Amino acid sequence: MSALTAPVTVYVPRDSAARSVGADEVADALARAAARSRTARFELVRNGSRGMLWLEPLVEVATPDGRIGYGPVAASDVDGLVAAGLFDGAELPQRVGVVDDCPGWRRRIGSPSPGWASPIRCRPTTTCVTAASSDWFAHWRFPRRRWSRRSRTPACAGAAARASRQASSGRRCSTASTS
Amino acid sequence: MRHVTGETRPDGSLTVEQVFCLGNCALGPAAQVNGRLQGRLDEARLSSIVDEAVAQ
Repeated sequence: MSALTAPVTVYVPRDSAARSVGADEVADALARAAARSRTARFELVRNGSRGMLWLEPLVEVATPDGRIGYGPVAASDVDGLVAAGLFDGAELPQRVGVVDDCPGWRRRIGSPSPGWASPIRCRPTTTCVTAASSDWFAHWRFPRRRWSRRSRTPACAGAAARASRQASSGRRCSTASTS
Repeated sequence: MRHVTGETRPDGSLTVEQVFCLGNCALGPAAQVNGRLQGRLDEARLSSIVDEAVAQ
């Protein structure tokens, strides 16, 4: 009998989209494989999807480098993947790397990197800037000239300008995540 | 498998209904079988799911 391996935390989405392509079966198979592999502690977290549905079921394994993603994973793949080192973040065909750094994910959340044009942050064309969303802008630096002035209604223009000024000074979030 | 939308098999084992949207377009084609959403369907996968459901 092999020695107990390091604690493992694995994330498998439990939203209806991921479940429609077999996330529940994948989670069950991972739990069974973990029991067989004698991990010291196995934690299975059923999270929400990150929205990159082409990767679902997207299995994420917590490592010191970040959450390493594998997808799409079928339940029938799980035993082979675990045997090949899934719980250690091993290089496998389904591996997508650190999910927080995936281009698909960065596009969704808006990258804090300078010069990155996020479609989400650049085109708030239907969003009137309120107190809550101007706070959101202040925490996420966004390319100020990317969105059309015509898209702002007169009622929003003042608040949007204030949010823009705040955005150019408040860079807490981007500093934290790029350093 | 031949089946007419909106009808039930004579033995009552299968009814197929048309829906407007299941909200799972990114993982389409999609279907809902006995209340459970199924995505990324192809003919083989749908057949196996339906056969399994009918057998229950």
